[in-house]
Amino acid sequence: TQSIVVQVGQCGNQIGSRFWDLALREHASVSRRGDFDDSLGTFFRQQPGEGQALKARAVLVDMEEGVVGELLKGRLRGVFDHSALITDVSGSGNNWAVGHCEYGLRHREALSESIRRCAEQCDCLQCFFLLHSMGGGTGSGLGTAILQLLRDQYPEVYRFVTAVYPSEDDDVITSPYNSVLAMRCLTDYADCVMPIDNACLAGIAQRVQDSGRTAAGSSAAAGAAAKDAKPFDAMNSIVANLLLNLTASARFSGTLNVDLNEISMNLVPFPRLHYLLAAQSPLSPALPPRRPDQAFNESFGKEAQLFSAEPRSHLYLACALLLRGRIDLSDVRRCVDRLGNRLAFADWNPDCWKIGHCAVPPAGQQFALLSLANNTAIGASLHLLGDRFSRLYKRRAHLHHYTQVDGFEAATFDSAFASLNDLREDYAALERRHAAGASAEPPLPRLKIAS
Amino acid sequence: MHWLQACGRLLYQRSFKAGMSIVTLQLGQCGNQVGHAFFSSIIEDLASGDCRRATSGRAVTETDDAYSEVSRNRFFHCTEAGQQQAMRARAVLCDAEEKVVAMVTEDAAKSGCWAYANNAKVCLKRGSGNNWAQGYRHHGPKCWPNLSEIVRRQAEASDRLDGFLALMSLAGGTGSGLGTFVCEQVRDEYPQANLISGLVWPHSRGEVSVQAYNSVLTTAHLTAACDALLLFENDRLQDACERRLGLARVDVGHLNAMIGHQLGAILQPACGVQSAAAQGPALGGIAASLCPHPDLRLLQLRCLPYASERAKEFSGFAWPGLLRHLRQMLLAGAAVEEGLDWRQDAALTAASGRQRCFASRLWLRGLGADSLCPADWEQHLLLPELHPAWLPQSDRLTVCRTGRPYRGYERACALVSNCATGADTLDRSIARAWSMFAAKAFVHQYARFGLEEAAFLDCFAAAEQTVFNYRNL
Repeated sequence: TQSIVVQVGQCGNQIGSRFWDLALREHASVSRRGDFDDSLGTFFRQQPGEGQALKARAVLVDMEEGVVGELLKGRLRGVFDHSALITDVSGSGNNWAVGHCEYGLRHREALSESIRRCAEQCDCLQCFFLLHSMGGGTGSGLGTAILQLLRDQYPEVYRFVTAVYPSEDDDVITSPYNSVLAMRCLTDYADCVMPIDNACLAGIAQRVQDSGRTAAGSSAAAGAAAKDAKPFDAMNSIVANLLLNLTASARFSGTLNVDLNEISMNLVPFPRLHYLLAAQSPLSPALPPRRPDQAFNESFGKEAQLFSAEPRSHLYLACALLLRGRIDLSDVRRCVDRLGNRLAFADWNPDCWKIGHCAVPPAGQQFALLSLANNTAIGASLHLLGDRFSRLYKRRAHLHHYTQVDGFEAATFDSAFASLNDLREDYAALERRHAAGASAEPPLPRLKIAS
Repeated sequence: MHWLQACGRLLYQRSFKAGMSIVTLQLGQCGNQVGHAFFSSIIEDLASGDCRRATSGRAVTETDDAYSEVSRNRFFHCTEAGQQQAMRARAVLCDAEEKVVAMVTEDAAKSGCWAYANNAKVCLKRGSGNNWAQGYRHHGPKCWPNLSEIVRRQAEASDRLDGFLALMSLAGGTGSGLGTFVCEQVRDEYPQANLISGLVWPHSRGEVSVQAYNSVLTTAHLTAACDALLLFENDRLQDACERRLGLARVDVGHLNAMIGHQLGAILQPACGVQSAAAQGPALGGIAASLCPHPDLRLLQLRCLPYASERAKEFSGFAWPGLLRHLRQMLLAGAAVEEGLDWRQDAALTAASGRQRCFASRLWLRGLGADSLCPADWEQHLLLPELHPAWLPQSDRLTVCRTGRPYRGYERACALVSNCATGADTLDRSIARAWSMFAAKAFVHQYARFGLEEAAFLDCFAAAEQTVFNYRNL
């Protein structure tokens, strides 16, 4: 099966460029001969003609020329198909309405065409990955317009979204507006969303760098990457690694393969509650290897979380553990048992685990673990986002920038905020029900057979 | 005559007319891996016979020759390809994606002595996403036209068809969903053939979030479609592997190898191997003697001894010892012979109502099996307290035996019982599935592929009925 990556906006394209770089490195380290096989085919295709160059299954979208321009001048320029680039010049001015309504309309045909061409080159298209940020205008607005287009035109294909949320101290004043407006689209049109927080990424990158300084030496891969590293590269690489770990089992073989459609099936018990908290161990492939027990502990700790939430003090609805590399079934059983005793799961399924194992570890590592948790902790973060939104909205601050855009209605703010609140309420209700325990309402009695 | 007996006689007559070959349906990732382990066990058993023959007298050689011939014919399609005899497994491989089938096919070919038939596999491009409904309603019908062709070819390649052994796991979407669909279709197209499915129950502490749903949905359908369901529980298998193989670290390969070993122990020839014609059908024998009633189809399998390759030579036991352990395992509901609760005796078990047993079938393989007399095993395994009073003595325990050892074990035995242990496992899954259903968790995922609440409720009702029947044996 194949997947297409749609990277939108400055942030989306920066993460995307790290992703493609690391993906090529990973495949190079796994397959010495460099043959084109199914695993490579998930994200790449071969250009017919001499050389049979590798082309990424990617669509690059940006309304400014800066980041995409850089990409096309850099080392990866040969990897992208020039028909898969949709750009404009003036940017979105951090305005969701401009991105969604104005550019969404203007570039709809071109986008649809690009995506269709990519999809036709796929034998069996399984999944779209959307990379974007929530706080700005292009990634947030145009990104969600594309998401809606994907839902309309390819309803059977899964839509996984990696969304970078603005931190509390984000310098874009209107980021709460943009985020809440985009959230509504994510709730309605995405199959799975992995929210990421810049503050968390920065923290992890700092920890990696600190331990890198104290380590005896660094691997060749890390050295090579450090040579032409740009600012934010470390942070973006973390997200890129997340995507590689997520898709490893779909690409390579293992005893317990986990395909992407299984992620959605196992982790999303209720259609709108599809926000998954991600954590990885080791934090970066450049770090020294972890033993399985350490890796399990680390990935459930606060520091490895990619979004500012504390899943351990909230309720787990479901949890997936995607393991890569060498680990024994008995070790996994033991760790899962230990964890299961310490974490709070919803009472309708105290054993709501999904375990996957891929034989191929990340480059330079023996073993890695990615945990994806559908956890009510996100409700707390939504609460904060809602508050920031309210503070602005109550004063009607900056609204005119949005309402003056053609095609944008003022009521969109209200419906988006209502959607956010509904989501918060859904998570809170689950927590309340859990807290009340069996005394809240008697469980539905099982069917009885008349004798 | 009790009506159950009448059913039994009818079934037995039907299956006795049937023939000898068994076609294995390997469905889904686990089904393919287990199937491969099963055929490997058969091959190893045949190879161990070759060793024995090399050092033994004529009488032994004749027995072994007959055994090998029957066994080869039962599981493989043997053709002469030049000097070599090519053995092609009588198997059909099906999965919703290609990786595992490719791996299993390659492993088989690597062995050098057997392989899967070239045209025996059907793969789709994308998996079932652990979704029973996707496997049952979408992939099943899509695969079936090609698959039915391959199944027909395999069935026709046999002189006489005993029936089908369907292997699948219950946790995922393909094995369980597509597997259920295939079993129902096979039942429709081959009403005279025996159909037994080997079901692998997942670890109770989660491998897949929705495994309880998939397990209940599958079991509810298959109790109607199959003649018998052989249950292999990962928890028990893992425990057994850890203890018997002395391994701290057990992986999926060990579990599969154990299942393969156990299946071989009950499906390899037994009962007077002298004349191939006198061989009863293996699947038919199991179905007839153990599962005459549609709501009592859950079978538990216990097999002794089992050891690693190194320890095998030191695991020589005498028949009384083996039989005594089997009996205690049955009473205590255990999967392993170590750490048994020996205080549990027949009276206690009967009083607790836990291990109520409908019927059992015993295989004795190895030195001196032919010279045992009925009293030798009856004193251990024919326990009046366990069986329902209305079941005649003669139907409670059937025995198959052969003097030919299995896989190099001097003496080995296997016991398949239709008892309430299986119902306990099913009950736990129903409880979990029901609490999810009541909370409407994951239900929309199944609805996406057309499985509505009414269909769920039907399956819950069927599964509860099965548990009820066992509780009231």
